[in-house]
Amino acid sequence: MSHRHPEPDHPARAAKFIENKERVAWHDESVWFVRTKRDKAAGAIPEWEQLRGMASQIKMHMLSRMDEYLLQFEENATKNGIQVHFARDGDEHNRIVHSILERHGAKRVVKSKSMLTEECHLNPYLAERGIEVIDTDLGERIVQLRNEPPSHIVMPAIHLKRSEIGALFHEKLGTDEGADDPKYLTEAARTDLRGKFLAAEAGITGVNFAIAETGGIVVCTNEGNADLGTSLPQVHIACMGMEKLLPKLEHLGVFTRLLARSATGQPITTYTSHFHGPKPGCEMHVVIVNNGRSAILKRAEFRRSLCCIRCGACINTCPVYRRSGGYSYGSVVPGPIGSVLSPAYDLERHATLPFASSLCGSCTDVCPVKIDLHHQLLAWRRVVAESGHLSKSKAFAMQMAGKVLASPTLYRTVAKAAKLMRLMPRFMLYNAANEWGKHRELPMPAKRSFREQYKQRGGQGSLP
Amino acid sequence: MSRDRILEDVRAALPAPVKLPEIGDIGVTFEDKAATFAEMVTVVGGSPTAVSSLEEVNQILKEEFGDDEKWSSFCPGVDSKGIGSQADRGGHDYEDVDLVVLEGVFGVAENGAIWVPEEQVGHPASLVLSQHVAIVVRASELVDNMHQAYARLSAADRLPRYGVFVSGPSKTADIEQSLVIGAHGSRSLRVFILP
Repeated sequence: MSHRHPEPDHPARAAKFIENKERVAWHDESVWFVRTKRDKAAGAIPEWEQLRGMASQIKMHMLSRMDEYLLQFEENATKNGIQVHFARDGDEHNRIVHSILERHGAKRVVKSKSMLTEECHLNPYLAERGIEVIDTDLGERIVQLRNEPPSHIVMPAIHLKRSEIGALFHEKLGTDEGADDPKYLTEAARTDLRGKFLAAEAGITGVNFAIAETGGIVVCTNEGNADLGTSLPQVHIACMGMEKLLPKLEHLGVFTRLLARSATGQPITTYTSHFHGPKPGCEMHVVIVNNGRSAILKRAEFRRSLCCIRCGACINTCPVYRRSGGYSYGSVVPGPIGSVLSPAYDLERHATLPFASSLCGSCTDVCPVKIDLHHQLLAWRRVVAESGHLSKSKAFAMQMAGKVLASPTLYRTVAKAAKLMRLMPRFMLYNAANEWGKHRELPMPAKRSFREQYKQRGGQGSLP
Repeated sequence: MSRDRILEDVRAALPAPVKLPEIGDIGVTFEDKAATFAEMVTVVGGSPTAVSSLEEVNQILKEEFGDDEKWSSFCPGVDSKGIGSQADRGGHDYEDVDLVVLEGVFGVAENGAIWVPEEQVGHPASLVLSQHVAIVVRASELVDNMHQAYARLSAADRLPRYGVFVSGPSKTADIEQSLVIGAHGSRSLRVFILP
């Protein structure tokens, strides 16, 4: 049994978020709004379920032959004039990116959204070495100016109100005090960022899809920041987790139809940009990162999580995420998918995440690549318990429940005793010992148990 | 070497083979592709106009944009103005261009996207750095869905170094989910649909 407690854990961080009830309701509502847009977009496509099935199978196929597709991608990308690099972990990834930038003397870098570079903590690594990295997705720029990580993988600043962004821009970009009109604030960011794009010496992007057959990559944005960030500087570095591979070009037909509809309810992102080689006289690099992915691939019950295309649909639908906020997870990727990915990297640190779910299964229902998220969350709970990382109160409750449920006699005694709850005053039921009842009402036990009613009827007949 | 080590780790972890599915002809199709395409261009924030000739495109743009605005046209039949030689322009030179006009290769009815490979835009930056963009596309060159779109791209000899599906003007909803048209890229997208 480990004694290092992950501090603060999900319940503690969530407790902080829900102190402000008005904000919780607002956050819940704005995230749910995105879920409803997703439903509308998915419902408009008659073959939606077929697409999900195909997407899932294409990814599972790719995972089953990942070595071949890695080699095929490398070969074809190299033929296209792209320089391909392999990194075993985040550190190596950062070293590779830094060495490319250093070789070009690049000090000013623009970056479009990449959860992988967040995972590898690339920005602080480069900043320590005197390289300025500007995040150019508006949401990411906002949280960067606040020195915060993204609180959502698709909408990084979903936790902030316009007034807070207005105050931030007033301080950092010199907008009018008190101005909080989204159009005005977006215009200010546009003007500021255009200067950064024009001055950039290198552009870093993430990768939504990498095509083994053609040796190219696809990046999806609404703002056009990946296109600005790659078309102006001399160097383009694209960073990808190795599970982003797709075997063939035709598979993009399936995935581009699913991605934006699942993410924001759009029929497709504004820019779906295909890069199959450097601009004349320029350089293009792709850094392929393992960082624990092969270890996940090895675990049968968890490998399906590698199918994830980072649309965020499971996050938007999750009742726990909506009411506890992205920061309550303490991991790069929040929500259900984050709660199954993060424990694979550091079980002890993320031991509470598999419990940040009601197991309602809504995440599994909306996932465009059919990851069995709520089953994986349950499977992780077992792993956490078996490795001794359960919190004390949970371990105690589970031990007790296990004993009671294993013995019919003990169960009956406890069930009888529970009827006393009907007579107990509130303070005896709702106190520090009752975590569950903090925000919920306990159901009252029935006056007569099933067993008693059955006996009374002579052990036959139907019950009322 | 990391590459070999990664391949080794992957090979040691490979699950049992999974068959690659046949995609087949599953995409939604439309009775009137041009009408659906125009509708979707509007949904994604663009402005579609049916025209009968490039002359008409020229006329409409002249009415919409002021005399002193700079145009960079890659569309035969629509003239550039106020920008000097097109050939000498690098990416950064599009900073002060007000309008870029170009021909899309084909459009996609289900989402209003238009395929724009690098040879249609002069420089990839022109599409996102200029303030406004107008794309001409032919109704005869519309496909129903993204499956057909990629079948078209697969049939070509090679893919361009840069090619993009453009669906509407640049946009963001990163501030309180409030949709703002004109994020970092083009502030507006006019789509002219020729027969």
